[in-house]
Amino acid sequence: MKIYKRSPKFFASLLKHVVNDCDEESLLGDFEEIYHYKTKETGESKARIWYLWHIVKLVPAYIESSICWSVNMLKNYFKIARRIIKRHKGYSFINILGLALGMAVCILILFFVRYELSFDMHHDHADRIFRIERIWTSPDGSIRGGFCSVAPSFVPFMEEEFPEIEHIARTADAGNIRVSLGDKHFIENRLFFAEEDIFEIFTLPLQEGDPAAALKDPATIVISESMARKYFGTKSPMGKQMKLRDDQLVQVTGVMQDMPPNMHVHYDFLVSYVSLKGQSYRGDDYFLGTTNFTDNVTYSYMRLAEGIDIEDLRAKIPAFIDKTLGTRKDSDGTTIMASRGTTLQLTKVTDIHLNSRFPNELEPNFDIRYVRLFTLVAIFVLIIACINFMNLSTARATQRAKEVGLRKVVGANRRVLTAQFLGESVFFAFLALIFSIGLVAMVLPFFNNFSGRALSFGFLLNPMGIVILLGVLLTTGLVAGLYPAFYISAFKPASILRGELTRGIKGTRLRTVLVVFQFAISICLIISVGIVYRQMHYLMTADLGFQRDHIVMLPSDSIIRNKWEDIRQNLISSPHIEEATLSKRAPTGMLADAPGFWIEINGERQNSPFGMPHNRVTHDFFNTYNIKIIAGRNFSREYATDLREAFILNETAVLRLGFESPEQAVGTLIGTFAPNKSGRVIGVAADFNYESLHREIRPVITYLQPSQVNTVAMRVVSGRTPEALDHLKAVWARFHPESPVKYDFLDDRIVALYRNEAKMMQMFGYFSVFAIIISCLGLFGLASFTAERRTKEIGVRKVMGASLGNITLLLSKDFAKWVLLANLIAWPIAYFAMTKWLANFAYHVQPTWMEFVLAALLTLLIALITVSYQSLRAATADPINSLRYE
Amino acid sequence: MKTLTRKEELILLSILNLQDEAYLIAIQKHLSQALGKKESLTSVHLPLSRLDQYGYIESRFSEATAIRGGRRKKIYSLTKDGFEALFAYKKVSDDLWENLSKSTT
Repeated sequence: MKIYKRSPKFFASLLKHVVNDCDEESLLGDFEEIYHYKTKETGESKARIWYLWHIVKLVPAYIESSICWSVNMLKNYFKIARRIIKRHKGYSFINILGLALGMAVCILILFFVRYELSFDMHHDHADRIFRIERIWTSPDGSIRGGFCSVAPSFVPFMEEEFPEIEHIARTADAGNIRVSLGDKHFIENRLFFAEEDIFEIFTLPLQEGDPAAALKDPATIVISESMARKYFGTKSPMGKQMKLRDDQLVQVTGVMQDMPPNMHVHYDFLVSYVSLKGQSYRGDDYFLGTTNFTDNVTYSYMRLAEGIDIEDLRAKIPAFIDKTLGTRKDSDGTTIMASRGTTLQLTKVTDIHLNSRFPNELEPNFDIRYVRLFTLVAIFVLIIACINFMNLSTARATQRAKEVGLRKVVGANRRVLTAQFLGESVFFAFLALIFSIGLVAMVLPFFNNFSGRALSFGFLLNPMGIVILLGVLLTTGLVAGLYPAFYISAFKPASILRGELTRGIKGTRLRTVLVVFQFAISICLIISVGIVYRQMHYLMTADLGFQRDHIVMLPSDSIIRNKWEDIRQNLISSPHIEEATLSKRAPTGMLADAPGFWIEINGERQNSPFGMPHNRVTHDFFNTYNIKIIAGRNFSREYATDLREAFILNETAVLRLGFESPEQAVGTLIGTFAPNKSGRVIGVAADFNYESLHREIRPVITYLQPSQVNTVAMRVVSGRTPEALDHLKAVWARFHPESPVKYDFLDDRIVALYRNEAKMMQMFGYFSVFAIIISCLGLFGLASFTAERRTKEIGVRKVMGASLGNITLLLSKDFAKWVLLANLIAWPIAYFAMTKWLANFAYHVQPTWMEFVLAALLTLLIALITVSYQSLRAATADPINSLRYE
Repeated sequence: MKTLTRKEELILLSILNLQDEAYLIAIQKHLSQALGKKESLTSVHLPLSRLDQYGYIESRFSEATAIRGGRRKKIYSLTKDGFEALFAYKKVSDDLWENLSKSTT
């Protein structure tokens, strides 16, 4: 058989597309045949050109025939849509407003979510940057705890061991530190000591200065743009000298752009890491040497070489730990490899903001679970809005029936009609979108305010924003329009035009299901808000074991520390200040290191089976916070030996150590390894929550060490806070005039601990209000429709003697039934979800029936109020009007 | 009665000549040969579809062939009306010719 040259298949399909209304087969066959002859005569390429040229020639005709007609039809569709909006103003208003509210909430949440997901994405090498974190593990491999920082000496060893690491840099948080320029002093808390490679790892463009050299030498500092303005105004800071603390002089070698708000850390000042030489009271080795593997004080980041699989590197970490740390004594005295107790975790920089929850995070992170939750809420709110649209459209379908019938008679098929109604709903969605963008613009400042984020309206205009907007528009338009479109387009023209179509009876069941579903979502949200609110209230007011009000806190430095006894006397000499103390750890802070210790029980000295966080304080710690000593005695200045060899345990520690009562523990010999200290337990303090209520109370050991305390706390007389603060400033001015007084309040710090939850509650509250409003809009529309549909029935009933109450009840009964059904569905879901959320807290409230019943009553009330307007209107209408026209 | 154009007449004649092979491309070739100049495909297709509209020709499908990529040919043939129209045309032109010969002799 002869093989003929075939034209590319693509040509044929193109031709088929361009030519409409023609005998396709013979045409394509003709083209194929000619193509064959042409190939034989003039070669394949000429034949192809010939083929394509003919297709091109057909295009104008194609455009004329297909598009012109569609434009005409489209014009008609628009005209109809416009007329419908005009004729049914109320209905269209409810429809568009509902959609707009839903879309606005959805857009806002999606932008928020997008913002949360964008953290640290702006670094040039974001996918290759990792943070090194120190983790302690139990022998079974489970994680006992950790920090998002690492001991300084690991870093040089890692750099040597792993050629995969291109750049690695340590940064050390200076905490609250005084920065001075001439006679200007400020307390700064975003000052870090950093190695010069930090500029290779993060994308931190310098406006002035050379990134390669800026942090190379000791006593150099790079400051951020806004800090340059704050200290130097409009003058260039380059080469100027600034002073840290009391005596450390540093020279400005660079100005960096302010970090974008969506980064996990914001540096105001970066001081060269080598400047730490000679600055640590623990000696140079602490930060710069090769022997500090215990104190995890440096936040360290690394950038991998290209093409390195992080899993390969992770697999090498245990061997590296063993090589570096060797073996160590387990608590029971046996020798184990170090990697069985500790490891280094490498977290991708882009995962920090949403997935990292270490106690010493540099800035409050958010939680991926909340991001997911919000996304879910956004979708739900949009669904509620879509359901409104579906309900109202199908309910009103009968009014479009004549139009549909006529269109069908003149030749519209089902596909065309579906397209028309879908297009109409997309058109409505588009109008709603414009409204919702306006709403978002109005609400954005408030949203930023309470979420603490910096979302800008410009988000809407970048490509991602437009994709989100289009996505919301099309999903809403299509989801909301799909069912009505199919429902309406299925009408049979013959029965419509004969007027047989019963008015909207058909979709009743589906509408009921949708309304119930809608309300179930709203009820879930209300119940959740109630429980979250109660939990938050509990967090804010729970008895934490210490006094939370009237306690002023401020940072201190060595000058305050050295003169503390004098300063304290001066402070409490005021009638407005009751007590003052200095401590290393303060309530609402975190209990960092938990070193091992030994204890003598029954004359036998044994190492502790668990690590115990310790706190170093001055004599008045327990008094200042009003923490009860439940056995033994408090620290006392009368016993000089207390400074060296007195320990106070908390109740949990006593129980964990196996004592039967706190009294029994008093007098026990006890000692810590780092620092090496031994003495006796002189007292037992009542339990109190150092940390947030997310965590259970841990055993804590407290001892006096005035050389290592840094937080001042003073208890002021209730109602005398301003006077007490004046006194505080006066005392500071006398003892430490250079230090600004930067204080805050303990109760504010407690609030800050639960900021994430508080934000979530607030947002949740707003969202559920919106969900309810949108649901009610739908209900309102539906009620008005039902009332209208039953006008004649109501008229007859009234003529027969039904009272106003009867009629209202008749119309409201159905809706009440639906809302109650929605409650039954929502309760178990809400209960399950909230129990899961509450499990995040070691201390939490229990969901009670109160929230559920209240939510039920609330929704019922709102629904009835919504419906009653329409019911009353129908019930008070004069029956003559409704019966007359037949 | 509709009068035929010259092109239409030629096409009808080609269809008669070609008999069972009268499809678009064959007609085009036949005409080109007869006239001694190349007729474009469009110039054949348009009168063809016009004739189809008048009801002078009808079409049927032949067997699929490989040269056409497995597609069938549309074979045209004259309808009764077609024959009548063609003969009417012939008669008109014959009469005119005859008149001419009479007047010259």
